[in-house]
Parts: sequence; C-alpha cells; structure tokens
Amino acid sequence: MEIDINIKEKSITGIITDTEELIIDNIKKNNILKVGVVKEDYLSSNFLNKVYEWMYYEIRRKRLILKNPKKKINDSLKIVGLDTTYLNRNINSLSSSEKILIILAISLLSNPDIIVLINLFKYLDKTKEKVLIMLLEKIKDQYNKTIVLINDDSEIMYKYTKYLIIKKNNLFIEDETNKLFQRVDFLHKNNIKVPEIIELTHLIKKKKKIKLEYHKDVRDILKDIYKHV
Amino acid sequence: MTKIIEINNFSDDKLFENLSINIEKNKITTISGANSCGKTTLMRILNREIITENDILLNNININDYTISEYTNLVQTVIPNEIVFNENTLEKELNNIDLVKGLRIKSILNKNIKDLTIKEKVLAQLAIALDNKPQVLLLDNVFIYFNDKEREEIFTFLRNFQKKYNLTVVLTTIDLRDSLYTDYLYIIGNKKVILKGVPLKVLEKDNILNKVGLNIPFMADLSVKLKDYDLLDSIILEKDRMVDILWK
Repeated sequence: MEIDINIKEKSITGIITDTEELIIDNIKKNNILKVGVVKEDYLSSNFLNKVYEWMYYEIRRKRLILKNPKKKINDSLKIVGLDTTYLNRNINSLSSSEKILIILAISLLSNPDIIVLINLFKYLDKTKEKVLIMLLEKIKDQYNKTIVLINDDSEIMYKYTKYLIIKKNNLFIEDETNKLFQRVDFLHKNNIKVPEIIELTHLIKKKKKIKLEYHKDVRDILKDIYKHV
Repeated sequence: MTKIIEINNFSDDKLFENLSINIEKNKITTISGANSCGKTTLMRILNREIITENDILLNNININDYTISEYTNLVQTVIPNEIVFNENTLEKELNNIDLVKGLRIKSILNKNIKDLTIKEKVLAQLAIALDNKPQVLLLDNVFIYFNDKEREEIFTFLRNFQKKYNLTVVLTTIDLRDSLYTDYLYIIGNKKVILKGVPLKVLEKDNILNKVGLNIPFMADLSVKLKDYDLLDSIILEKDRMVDILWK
C-alpha cells in the first residue's frame, strides 16, 4: 500500500501509527535520501559479546562500504557522546539508555539523511529523555539530518516534535503538533490519545467556559489556573 | 503487615548500599527509580540469577536455602526478551484456560513462539508465569510495551488474579503511572530507598522525584502544585473532578 508521507526536512517530525512497517517502507520509497532506522528490537538480547563486534557485524549485515571503518565507528560514537572505551564493553552490561546511544551510533554508520527512531523514549527516565532529545537536536542541526520519531505516546510527541503525522484507525492527518493536538474532540472521536495538559485545558473551556492557553509545562498551566480560579 | 520478602541492608560493590525493602504478602508493590539505578539487577537477585550472600528472606527463609525447584514453585519472574519456552506454541505450555481470556491471548496461542512480537512475547511470558501459580510474581519493566488501555486491562486482570490466588506481585518500572495501579511504592536513588509508601503519598514528594529524574504523572504533578497554592487538599487524578473542585 502506498501512502504519501511528507516529512519536513531538517526537523523533528512525530508519527503516531499502528502500521509502523508500512510507514517506514513508504518513507524509504518516497525519499531518494538514505534512511536509518533505530528500533527497540535491537535492545533485546544480542548474540554478540562486545560493542565493537556488534558495530562491525552491522557494517557487514548492511553491506556498508566504508573507506575507514574504524574511524567511522569512532566518529559515530563521538557524535552520540560516547568514547571509544565503549567498544570493549560487554553488550549485556549496557543499560537501556546506553544501548539506545549505541544503536543510534550504528544507524549513523551508513550516514543516513533521515533517522527514524521507533518507540525508544519509553525506556528512558526524564533526565535521559532530555539528553536524547538534545542529542537529536544536535544531530539535526550540526549534521543536517531529518529526525522522525515513531511513538505511541502523545505526551512525548507533544513535548518534542514540531510536526505530527497520525496514521491510525483509518485516520491520516498531518499538521504542526501543537495545532493538531488542539483538535481534541476530533481526536477523541478517532480514539487518539490527547496529551493530558491539553485535555485538561479543553475540559476547563468546555465545562466552565474559561479559556486557558494551551501550555506544555505543568508550571505554566498552574499559573494560568491560579489567575482564573 | 505480613512480609513475604525481606531485603535487609543489602550492599554490593556497585549499585546498592544498605538497601532495605519489605514486600507485603498478597499486595502489588512497585519499585521505581531512574535508568541504571539497579531495578533489573534487583529482579535478577530476587530471581536468584545473581547469587548474593546478603540477607534476603522469602517467607522468613534465606532465598539461598531453597532448592531450585522449591524456589521456582514459589517465585516466577518475567524479564522481557529473556524467554525459555519448552514448547513451540503457547497453547502447549498453558494449563489455566482463564489466562487466555483474561490476557486476551487467544490469537497467539497457536503461533510459533519465534514469530511473536515483543509485546506478544511478554504476554506469553506473563501467562506462563501465572500458569505456574507462584506465591510471588516478579515483573521487570513489563508494562512499557502496552498502551494505556492495555495497561489498565492487564492491571485489572492481575488484581483479580492476585486476589483469587493470593499472589504477591513485585514490579519494576520507570513510569510512575504504573504505580497508581499498585498498593505500595518504593523509589530507589543514590543506591538506597529514598521514598516509600502508598503511591499517592509518595507522588506528593515532587522535589525528590524530580531530582531522581522520574516523570511524575501529569495530574498528580499538577495536584501537588495546586496543593502548594492551597487550591486543592489532595491529589486528584480525575480531570472532571479537579475542574469541579477548582471552579465550584
């Protein structure tokens, strides 16, 4: 099945979907650009021992032709903020957040133009979540990459993406994330979860006719509520 | 309180320093903490994959004093992606047919286990663990694979199962929303327990939770802050109710 997906270049676009394989296939088909996919499956147990074995294995598996693989590996690790001591670490000794950085580094080996991360944020605490998003912003800005986050969690999408595509339950819409999530009744009708802060703001307007702004931070809605009670 | 598991002043070289946790019998307990705080390691210790000389008791007996089969009969563990199945399909593994309906796993019963998705594998692991009717079920970061609706369904099923079979459940999670379905919450930070109590009471300690790096569920977070401004008396998780209280 072919669908026309518009990914804005050099931005962070979110996709909420129940057909991620279809989406990825279409991103690959619709773009002449190279696409790197970072999936949660790669976090599961690995038959290799060391990180360097994993990285060389991926070079072979993806049939990457690299002039200087060692340098490329070191550079990729550096981009994600890891030093080369990680190469000798046992894969099983890595935490989920460290593994996510390694698989992101692996995706960079092929020098993709678009990096697609699928459902990775759920493994991270608040601090690590912010670190990853800052890293993705850096990769986007400094290395001219386009970032796509495929994620079920509307809270993550609202916090971190500029554009949003929803392809779920026979629904296919796209817009700026802020605008799209404000279509609360429409999203409810289509069984799409709305971020809680928006849902509350919408409810206040509906029940009490009080129009608060749509905020992202709990402290901002707190101030707004304080002004209006 | 009847304790079923007691961890007394647990210390090791890396992760824990005088960690003490008591798990109450026939309750669901959450253990949470930031990435790399040792949650999975703790599950592996309680599962006896990591052997320790520390003082850990199950039913007042040191866990090392049980034979492997005695311990497996009493304690079942679900660590996602680490599966040992005896058979090719889940149908051949399961005896308790209630689990099929309760966990909505009919569609995967006859699938080859190798072909299951991560989410389906976790459900399969959970079903097999419950099928063994253990006294204690350990769940390591299991709920991240499910959306809000599925989580609620699984927790509801687990609660009913727990009551029916006098099960004790210990789960680890990074997502404090999970703790709202449970009876007791421990937060690990700086190698020890830094907060413990009924989940809604623990969630009131927003400064500590923020320092640890955990996301507080939005409605709990907002309630605590509204409480600081004397606009609410307690944590309110239902939006309708909060709006009605704020604008009486």
